[in-house]
Amino acid sequence: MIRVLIVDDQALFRGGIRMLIESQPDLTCVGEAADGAQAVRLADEQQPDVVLMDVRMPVLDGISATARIVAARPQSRVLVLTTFDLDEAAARAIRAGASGFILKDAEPELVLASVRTVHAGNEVVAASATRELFKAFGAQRRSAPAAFDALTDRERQIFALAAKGLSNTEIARSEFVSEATVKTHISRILTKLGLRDRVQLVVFAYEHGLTGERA
Amino acid sequence: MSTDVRPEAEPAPAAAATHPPARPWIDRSALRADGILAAVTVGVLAIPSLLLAIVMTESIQWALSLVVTAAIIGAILLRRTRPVLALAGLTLLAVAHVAMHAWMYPVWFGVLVVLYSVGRFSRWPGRLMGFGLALVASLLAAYWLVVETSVQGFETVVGVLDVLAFLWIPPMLLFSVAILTGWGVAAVDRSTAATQVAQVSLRRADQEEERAALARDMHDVVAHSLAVVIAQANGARYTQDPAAKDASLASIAGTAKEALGDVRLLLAQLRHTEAPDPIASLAGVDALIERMREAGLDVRLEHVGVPVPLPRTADIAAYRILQEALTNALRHGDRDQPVHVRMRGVPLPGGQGGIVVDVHNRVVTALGQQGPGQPGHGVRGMHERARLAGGEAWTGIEDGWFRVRAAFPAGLQ
Repeated sequence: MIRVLIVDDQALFRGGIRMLIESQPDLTCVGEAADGAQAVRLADEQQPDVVLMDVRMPVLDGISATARIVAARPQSRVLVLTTFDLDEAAARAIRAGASGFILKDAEPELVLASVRTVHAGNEVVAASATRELFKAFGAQRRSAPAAFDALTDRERQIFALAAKGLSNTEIARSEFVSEATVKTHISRILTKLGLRDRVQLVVFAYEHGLTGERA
Repeated sequence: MSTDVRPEAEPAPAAAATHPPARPWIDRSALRADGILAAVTVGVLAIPSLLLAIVMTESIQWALSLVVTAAIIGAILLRRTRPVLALAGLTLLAVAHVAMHAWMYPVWFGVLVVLYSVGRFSRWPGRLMGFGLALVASLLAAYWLVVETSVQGFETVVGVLDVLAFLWIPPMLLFSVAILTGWGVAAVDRSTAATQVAQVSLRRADQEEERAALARDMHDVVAHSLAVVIAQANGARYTQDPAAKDASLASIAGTAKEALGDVRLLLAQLRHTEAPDPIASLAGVDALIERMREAGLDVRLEHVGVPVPLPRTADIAAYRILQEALTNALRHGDRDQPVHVRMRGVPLPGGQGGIVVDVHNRVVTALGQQGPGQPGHGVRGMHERARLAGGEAWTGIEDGWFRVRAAFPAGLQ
């Protein structure tokens, strides 16, 4: 059972998402919060697996709430809900520790799939949209830090594929290895680079010019 | 004095002569005005000229007077586009005039119009040349007076000084005053034009800001309502609970209806901004309140203290907050109860002090749905607006009244 917390300042919006979440046998809604401060409190009480987080809210915005929630409980995943597909606030939320973003008007199938994907952590939600987002609002490209040199050649190959947004299954297929091996590589890469999850890897690759495209 | 800004004239006639003129010789837009001016000048001066003509017997004098008249008319027509050249031409004619020992024709006074035009329509080098030509012309005038009226006294130093004092200085002064008058008019004109440009751009900036605010409001209304509609519709599709489906459909209908109402209100505001009262300013408070009354709101306005002029940004913000508060009262408040608006001016010495706008309306208590929920986007916008304009806003409920209070310092003007 994936425990979901819904955070948005519009009660009727939360209600709609809640109905959608509750309709799934593997998902359950453990609470609703109307602002960032309530979200932080509820996350602490309910220990949700996935937090669906609006960015613009009174009292405490979604970006600060995301940072607090992932700091207090690293295994919680935050999925940001935005109104525009190029929303700078979404980019800031991802830098603050969110695992991805989806549009508020996304198809319900996509919303559900994204919650499961973020929870599983084996794929990036809307990888190409995320790259577009950081193309628009990303920081200045810096050269790769020393930590990147610590990766083995094999790990760098896997890194490049994961940075493109490929899932573990896709990487396994293209590299002729088992998914378990890919998973091991990915978690080792994340540890070496000090990254939280795959979306951070995409952002890291983008901001250090390591996407494999000749910059 | 014409208010439109004309291109300044070519500084030197020499440049105009060597260059194939790209500019027209005659300013067509001013041709009528200058034609009338030339006719009036010549007409007025023609009366004394005609009186003089009675005593003029030589036909050469007649011919020369006609030439001078034509030259004055021509110079007046060229005064906007080639003022210095026109003056130079008249000065040359004056040299010929003096050389021929011709009579002094009153029509010569038309040169004052041309001197004025040099000051009015030319730039620095042109004006300096104008003064140079005025010097030449005044010396010619003095020389003519000495020669033609047989003034005596060149034998002594005192005699020469006399001639200078009485025959050269007055025309020189007269000519200089003409140029300086034109110059002054040009300066006044330019600053008037600059002020007009500044006012127009200020008004445009207000309109831009207003339009941006409306666009923001429109997006808020549409995006938020539609997000709710989509979420509720998707939820209803997926849920197994029939009661929840019904509730969803009801809230979809309610949200859509409310959004439609908001959009109508915004469109009404948009139409108002296109109407002749587009400028947001506390000066327009009466008109705003009148509009709100027409919309069915019982507004009681009270002015307290002395009105203090606010900086432009604060003025706009104060008006906008008042407008927002009244709109909210109309939308969400109890319309059967009056809305109280108090404008309090607090003057303090040294440009200090400010204005406090205070609005309170009865909140709806019976209908739970319309009750005072969490602050909406409009209320947050008020705080933001006030802060950006250097003021501060408070909103909240006190004893069943929804209260909006916004204070703006007069600050430095």
